[in-house]
Parts: sequence; C-alpha cells; structure tokens
Amino acid sequence: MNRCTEIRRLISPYLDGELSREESLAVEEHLSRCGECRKVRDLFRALGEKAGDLPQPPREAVEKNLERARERLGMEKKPSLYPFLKPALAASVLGLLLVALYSGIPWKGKVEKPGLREETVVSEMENISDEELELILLLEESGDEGGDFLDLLKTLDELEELTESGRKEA
Amino acid sequence: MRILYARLPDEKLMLLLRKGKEGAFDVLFRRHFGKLYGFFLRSTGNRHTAEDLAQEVLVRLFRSAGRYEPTAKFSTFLYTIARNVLLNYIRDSRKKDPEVDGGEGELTPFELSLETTPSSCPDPSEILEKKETLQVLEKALSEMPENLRTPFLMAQGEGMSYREIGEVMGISEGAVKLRIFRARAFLAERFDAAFRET
Repeated sequence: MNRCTEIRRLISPYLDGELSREESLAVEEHLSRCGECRKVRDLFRALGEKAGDLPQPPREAVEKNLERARERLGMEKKPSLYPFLKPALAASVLGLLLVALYSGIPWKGKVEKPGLREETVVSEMENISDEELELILLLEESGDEGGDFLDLLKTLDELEELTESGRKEA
Repeated sequence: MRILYARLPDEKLMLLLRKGKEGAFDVLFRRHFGKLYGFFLRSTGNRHTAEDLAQEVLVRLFRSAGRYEPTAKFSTFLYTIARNVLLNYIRDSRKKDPEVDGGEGELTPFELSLETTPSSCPDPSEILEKKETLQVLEKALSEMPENLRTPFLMAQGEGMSYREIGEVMGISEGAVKLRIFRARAFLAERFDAAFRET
C-alpha cells in the first residue's frame, strides 16, 4: 500500500477528530506536500459541513409539538401566551422606539451587565451536585422557600466545614 | 425556591424527570427537538414526519426516564431512542432500505478510486458553491442506507464521537469509522454523477 492510500484511509477520522496526536501530525505532514490528498480532505470536509448543517424547525413547531407531547403524557395544559404575546411585544418595541425618538435617548444606551450574584447562581446551577439537587427538591416539595440558591450553597458549605472540623477534633 | 431548569445540564434534568418534574421535560424538549428534527429531516426528507418522529423520541425519553443511569452520557441515551424510532418508522413505512452488506463488505470501485485516484472525484469548491448542492445532498442522503447515514449524521450533525455512535448502534468503533468513510464516499459519488450531468 503506498503512502497516499494509507493517509486517505485516515482522512475521514482525522476530520472527525478521532485520530491520536501522532496520527494527526502524520496526516497533516503528508497533506502539506500532497495536493491530491488535500483534494480528498477538502472534498470530505465540504460534504461533512453541508450534511452536518442540520435544518431547524420554526419556533412555532417546537411549541406546538411540545404541547402535543404534554397532552400525550397526560400533563396539564399550559395557557398559551403566544397569540397575546406577539402583538404585545410588537407594541412594546414600537412604543420604546417612539419614546427614544422623541426624548433624545441615545440609541446605544448603557447595557447593564448581570450582577456577580446572578452569574454565580448560573455557574453554580451548571455544576450542581446530585446531593444539592436533592436538597432543593426536598425544600421545594415541603413548600419551604428556603432562601435563595446562594444561601443554600452557603449553608451546605458551612455544614461541610462543621463536619470536617468535627472529624478533625475527633 | 425555584430551580433554574434551563441552566441545568441534561443529566441533571433527567434526574428531575425521574421525579416527574414537568418543567424539566419542557426544557429538555425545547433543547433537543430542533436537533432531532434536523436528524429526522435529513433521514426521511419529510418535514411532517421529522416533527412527528422528534416528538415521539422525546415522549419516549420521558417514559423511559426511570431507566436512565446518571453515569450514562445523555446523548447516547437520547440517540439510542432516536435510532429505534427511526428503524420502526422505516419498517412501518415498508420503505425498502438499500442493502449494504452490514456496511462492512468490500470497498466499491468508487470507494477504491477515492483511495487511489482522487483526480476523478468532484471539486470541493463546487459542492460549497453550486446552488443545486442542497437538492443533490437531500436526495443522496434519502437514498443512502440507514446504517451509513445514521452514524454519519450523528458525527457531523451532533458531533458525537465514534465510541458514542458505536454504543448507540451496538457496533465497534472500527465499524463506525468504516461506515462514516463509506457515507462520505457515497455522497462524493452522487455529487460526482450529478455535477457531471450538469
């Protein structure tokens, strides 16, 4: 088997990031000096990009299908705000535009960044452990508001520290 | 206390789904319906069918949440359901899926030519630029055997690894590698034929 045939067998997994570092380097080194193999790589890449660009459904289709799925699963029907929301949104945007036009508000106003507190909650939610999730569910089910999420995490940290110091003392 | 469902990863939402939390279902549905729709549209070529099949997968996801092991990767679990739904659809619609010898038979002359004489293959820039590309692609994918198309779409559209695809399809990583190569070669051959005609 010649070198080109060998490399061409690796191009498909190379594009999918499935080769080891050494194999990838060998492919890249060969591609840098072989135009014919580069052509196969470009062809495979173009085909992958075109096929992988999956079409998306319209937003209404997602909501319509979600509603149907909820019905099939015997879930409660949610009041749909969509028909009211659309004209209300349009009216709000128009209103804001008119106010901005007549009051001289600059178009590029200062955009408020989300506070540190909010960012922390978001990042903590993404890294939440199973135990923390269980605890939130228990509080939610018992109807206890339990403060907000950051307070809960603080309590958990304190509990952990207490347990740790208790262990050390023992 | 309100859980920010939309901020939770899929695996955690599955735990909530096991406890019957409807909010978790809504988030998982909105998060994955679009991708499943795209996968089924590329597989069936029909928008209504794609919507129905994507909905069916997510209904089955809810029903089978009890079987979900938190250690398992969510995408593997979801696409195992998706593939079963697709195979049922192919069987029920009695659409004959082209035979490909399990995807692991000998290379076809065109596949061999890609490995030896690529000068005969279509120009990549044509694929990216020609306006008939989408039409040719959709037709070629609809004619491609399911056992080549599914791993190819999972890798290209979903970014799934060969190992994950192997788990979904119950085949080895080596077999996934070969099937994806053959899927690319299948498309290349169709583009070659289509562009030579025009």
